[in-house]
Amino acid sequence: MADTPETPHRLRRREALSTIAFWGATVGAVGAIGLPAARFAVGDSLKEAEQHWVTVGSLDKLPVGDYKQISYQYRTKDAWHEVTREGILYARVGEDGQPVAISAVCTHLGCNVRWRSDESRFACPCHSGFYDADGEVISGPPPKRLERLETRVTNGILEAHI
Amino acid sequence: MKTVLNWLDDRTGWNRPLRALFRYPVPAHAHHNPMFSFGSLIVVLFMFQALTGILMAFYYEPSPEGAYFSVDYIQFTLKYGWLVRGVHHWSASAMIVLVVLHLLRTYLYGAYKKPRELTWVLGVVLLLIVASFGFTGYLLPWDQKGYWATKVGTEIAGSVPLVGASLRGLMRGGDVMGITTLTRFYTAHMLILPAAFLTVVLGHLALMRRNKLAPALVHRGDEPEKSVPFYPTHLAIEAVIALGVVVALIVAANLFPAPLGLRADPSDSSFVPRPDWYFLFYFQLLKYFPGSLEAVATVLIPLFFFGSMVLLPFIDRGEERRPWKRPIAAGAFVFYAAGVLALTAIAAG
Repeated sequence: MADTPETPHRLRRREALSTIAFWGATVGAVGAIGLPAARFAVGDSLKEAEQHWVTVGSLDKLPVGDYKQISYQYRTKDAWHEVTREGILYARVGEDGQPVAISAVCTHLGCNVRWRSDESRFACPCHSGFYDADGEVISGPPPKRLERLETRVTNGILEAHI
Repeated sequence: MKTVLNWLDDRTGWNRPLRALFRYPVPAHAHHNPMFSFGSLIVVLFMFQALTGILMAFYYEPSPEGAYFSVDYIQFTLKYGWLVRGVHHWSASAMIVLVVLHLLRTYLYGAYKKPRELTWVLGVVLLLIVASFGFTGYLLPWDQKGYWATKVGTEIAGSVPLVGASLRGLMRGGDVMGITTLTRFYTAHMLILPAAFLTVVLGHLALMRRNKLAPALVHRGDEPEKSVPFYPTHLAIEAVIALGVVVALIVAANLFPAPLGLRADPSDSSFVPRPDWYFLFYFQLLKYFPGSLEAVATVLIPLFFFGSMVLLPFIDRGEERRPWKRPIAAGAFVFYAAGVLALTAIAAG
């Protein structure tokens, strides 16, 4: 059968269909790979960290009024690794006899604060943030108070929820 | 030899494109001004970084348990490990210096103006990429400095209103810094950023070739400016400068070994984290904004700074390029330079 010349109208239609087919297939292919790829890359990034009860120590050995720096550890899973996570918090027995545990994580940019016993305040060495003994901001860049941790006492041992 | 080259040219046709690539005319004012070598030096330094980075990857272990000890092994046990890591370290700093100098030269010469707006914009993107190389590379030894600087850096991302927590999580690979933070930073440092750097550099160079270098600021006489071929005349000068840089890097690696602090300890409250010298001004700036204005320092100022850099050629559209005839541009340069230097000096003091 002899070839018949295509009319400009048919050529335009063919070009339009080809353009739609090209972009449709491209978007489909990119989407089919890209969406699972993006989800894969996100992984567990957006999950909130699990909370743990950590041992602070014997309640009767905690100072009254002054803070003691406590190093804590707990076992957890870091993706495919079983790890021991470490951190610090500050604990004391308040004047009302109740235990107080305060997170050492500065609310500005996450550095560990230090308790300055002689000044009765917490100081962050990174960007000069200061908090009072209750953890309220005195000065500097921290946007909010230090986190006061939930506590419980089991058989005379103080634990904090971090 | 010539027969082999002719045979290769006959089969591949490589001669013409190569000649077009390497024998383009370089104007005399650029040929005689070492400030016009900053760009090619950055590419040379990138090649050093790629080579020394690949070499270190033979031994580096990207895990919180192994990273520190593998870097310690590279630095103190392996033959020439101090040299490979030292050159990588000092070359990274030199890259930052040269990218900034390259941008400053372009800024002061008004070379970002029409038709070179996009070349400038890609240059600003390159500055961001080079700074990201520094930020991601800092964590990899998993020492105290790297760990805490990264913690602070990811918290800065976390302070972005509305999406901050998600951004921080995506950067860290989770809520807490751990193995997924290290593998993410390693992947970005080794694969994503080099690919981005090469792509943007190629675009930058293609635009430079298309629009040519900006003419001399002051042209005396009526004769058209003379030029020299890029290869071999101009490239010879660049090669000599590159050789000098290699020697300087080797000397620096020998006299001032790349630092490796104590292993990262998240429970340490005595360590004062400080970023590398090129982020010190920002570290200092963060101290001046109280809690309610935190987002001003962590989001608005960086956005304004980089936004104004990107928009510069579209705002400053006058034809005048001589800096002494552009008091606003020159004043802005003095203001920013003085600010950055003063903040760096305070932080370092």
